Amino acid sequence: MKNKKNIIWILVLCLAVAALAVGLNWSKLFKDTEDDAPTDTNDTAARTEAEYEDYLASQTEVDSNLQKELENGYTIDDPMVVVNPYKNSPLTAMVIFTTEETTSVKCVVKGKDNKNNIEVEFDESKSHMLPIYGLYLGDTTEVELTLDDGTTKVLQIQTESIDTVLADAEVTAYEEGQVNSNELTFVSIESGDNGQYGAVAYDNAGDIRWLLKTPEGTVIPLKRLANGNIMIPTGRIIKTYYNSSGLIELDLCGKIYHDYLVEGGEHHDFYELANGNILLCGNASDFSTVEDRIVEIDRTTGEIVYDLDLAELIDPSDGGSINRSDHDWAHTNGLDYDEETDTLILSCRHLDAVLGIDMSDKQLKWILGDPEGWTNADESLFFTPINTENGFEWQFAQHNAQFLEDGDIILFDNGAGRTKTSKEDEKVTGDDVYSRAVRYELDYENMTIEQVWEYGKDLGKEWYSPYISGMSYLGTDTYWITSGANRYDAVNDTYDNPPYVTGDLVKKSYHNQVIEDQLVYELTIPALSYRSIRMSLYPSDYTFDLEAEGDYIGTLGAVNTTDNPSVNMEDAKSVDFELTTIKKTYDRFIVSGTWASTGEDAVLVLVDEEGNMTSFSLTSMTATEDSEMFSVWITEESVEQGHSYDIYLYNNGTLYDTKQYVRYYVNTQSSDIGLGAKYALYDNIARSYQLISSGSLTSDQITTDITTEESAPIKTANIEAQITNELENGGYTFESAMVIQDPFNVRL
Amino acid sequence: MFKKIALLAAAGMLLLTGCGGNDNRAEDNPTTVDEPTAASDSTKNVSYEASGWEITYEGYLIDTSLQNASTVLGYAEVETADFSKTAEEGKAFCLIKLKLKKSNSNETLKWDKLMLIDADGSEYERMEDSFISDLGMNRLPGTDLNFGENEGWICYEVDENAVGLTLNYTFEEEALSIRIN
Repeated sequence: MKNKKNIIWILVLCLAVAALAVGLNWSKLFKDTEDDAPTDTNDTAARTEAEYEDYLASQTEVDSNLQKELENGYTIDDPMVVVNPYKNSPLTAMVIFTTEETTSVKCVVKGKDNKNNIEVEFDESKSHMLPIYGLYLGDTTEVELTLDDGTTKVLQIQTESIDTVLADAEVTAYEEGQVNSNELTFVSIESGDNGQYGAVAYDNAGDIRWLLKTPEGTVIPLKRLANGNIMIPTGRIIKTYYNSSGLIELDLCGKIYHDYLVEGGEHHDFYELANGNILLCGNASDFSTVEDRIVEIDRTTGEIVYDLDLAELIDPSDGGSINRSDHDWAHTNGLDYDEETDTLILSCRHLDAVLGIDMSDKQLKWILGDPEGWTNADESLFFTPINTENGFEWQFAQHNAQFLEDGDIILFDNGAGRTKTSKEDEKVTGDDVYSRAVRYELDYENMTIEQVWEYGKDLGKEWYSPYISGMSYLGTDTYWITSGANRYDAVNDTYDNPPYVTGDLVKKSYHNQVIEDQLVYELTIPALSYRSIRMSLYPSDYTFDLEAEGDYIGTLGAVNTTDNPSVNMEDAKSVDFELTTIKKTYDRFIVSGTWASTGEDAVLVLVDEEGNMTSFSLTSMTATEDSEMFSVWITEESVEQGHSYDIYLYNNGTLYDTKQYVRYYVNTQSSDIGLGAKYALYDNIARSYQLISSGSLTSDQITTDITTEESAPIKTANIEAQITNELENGGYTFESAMVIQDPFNVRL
Repeated sequence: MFKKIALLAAAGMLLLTGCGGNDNRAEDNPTTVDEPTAASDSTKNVSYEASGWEITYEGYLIDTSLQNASTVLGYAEVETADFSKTAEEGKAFCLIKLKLKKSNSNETLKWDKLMLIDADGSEYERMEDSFISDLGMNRLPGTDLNFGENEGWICYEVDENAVGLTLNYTFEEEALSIRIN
């Protein structure tokens, strides 16, 4: 009887360990079975599992290694210096040492001259993990550390040279004393670096002092949050060309604290509300229309707590803009909020208008723009220009509209076309094009508007940017302006190049500080810039948080299925085109590639163990004469959980078998499973799932502090190796079994 | 075979970069990466431990020229970027993929000490190989390593007919030699 009980116990423990391993990565832990097991009745050829990636798990490993270094007892005399610890911010370093006494550390990152020194004082501690910002690119930077007792250590920190056009920026105007020497110019790059570095910070001398590697080399845009971290789009594009899966919160070391997933994605702009929630520019969840939705996400849960469809306020056919399309009729490219009046301010490029919206009531309060071409909007919503003798112009295709404290509105007037469809013969083109920054004074009671300041019109075509760009107010009649998309076509000798014009163009962006009408500083970058802002490298009261783990918050929601193709699975051909990506990440399963052409019938087909098909439409990304790139992604909400799906592609009447499969774990949110970690045990032979729960053990056998029912297996190669090692070498017996609590850090 | 290496490299690149700050074009968008054609290539996965470093040799390729065509998304268009690099006459590029993990070491791994030596005794230092990123492959940092785990490619320019290549590193208390071909 006792033996029988022991056997049951051993089986239970084995099952639990195996289940945990599955939760992590069955294929790696049990390589022998993985290699030959996954076959199905319809396909005798071996299949491989689609690659899985969780980049935040890699980050956790970096944190763990930094912690280990902190425990190694480095001293101020011989500290540990880790350059670019998170591998995405090459001009940062972490300096690690301990002191016997508690002390603060004063740090001076020496500039090429004293005016460009960067200074910060780190909090008192005995364990010092000091993030160093402001190193020079491809050079040695002197960093001076001073303890409370006067002990000083000077470090020489070398960074790697990087071949980037961003390093060719020049300061083309500079009146010393007029520019804040404690701030740098942080630029959100639109393009210019062949898809590598999307954000960069220049000191006042025009030297790069911070650089961030991002997907696509694009950041639209970068902002600092109230807690000192920065926020940028994830860069994981879910809809061409720039709609990201959401936003990430990170520090300048490149450590990511939160990865926010947003249904419909994010584009162009976001705004941190006083309660910490994030208001952002979004899209219809099915992308039937784009850039016409505003959502507020709860900072803690990612839940959408406010949802505004602009089509409820504006007739999508209205406005008469020459830039609009039915799919992108609003093109909301700027977002601001005035808490005092509860007014949401939206810059809508394809309406040539800024909208004032009562946020709580979702009512349109006013429209700042040329009334010409509007046919379905109430006339009382428009402003009437006054005092026009000093010059007044409406804005066209504007960006980055913002409220000032006195109720004025500033914006970058790109001036693309400078007319409406009803007056297309008056379109401004060729050598006459110009952009400008403008400030309007608004009387909201009498609905009048006065242009009280402008800059840039006189600079003409050579400062013209028909898209992107922005501006901000630095106080005391001081403006920071980004003319971000100046493109010159030397062949046709023209600066009048709309966004869709490609080719060999000379790209420049101008970053200007203007006091009243006087240019006091100008940085010229040979790359296009979405926006730039001025801020210090170190926020006030800055403390690096080594222990904080990056997490994913929110969801992209379900992707709609489409009709299945009428095919016999036996007719599937091998792939004879390039499959660039078949990958499962935390938020999506992605397939992309290049083939001759994308047919109207093109779909991704997932086939479960029973032969049931589920299909999803493909997106054509771009086409040349003889090839076309396609992409498709789905989320875990898009398919039934607890299945393994063979991956097929169908195009132009042909079914292609990728010879790969993707697994979706059983949804573990069911409440009938009981307390404890829960995993789906996948049987590689039968290709079926069985739900396993540590709840099958009694509470006196395994204890846990798990309090919620949500879990998701997270792969970590280190942990699986440790489990394997324990299993093979630990020599544990039934009487002294190894019990690992929450071994995969599933963040319940 | 080399396609597999390149895919591994791309995967490694994604895993190693810290965040949104990573070059994951291939993840989200159909970036075309025509991996370099290799006159000679091989995948191996051999791990060594020396002076507190875990060093895994994961493969190599040798060729006289390397090409890549990639696609980059802009704000309003897709652009293609072609890249090619040719070795000096009589020379060839030898790209080697390594994973270097510091387990328990106080030694910094210095690139100028990681020598490639051929059967004739000719020694080669790692070349300035920032072009590896332009090939769409993950490149190991060019600065000396003293921390964590790093995986990617490095490049040496070797005699075109070099054979018997070994990768050699002399730590303070021991020496490591890895046979390449």
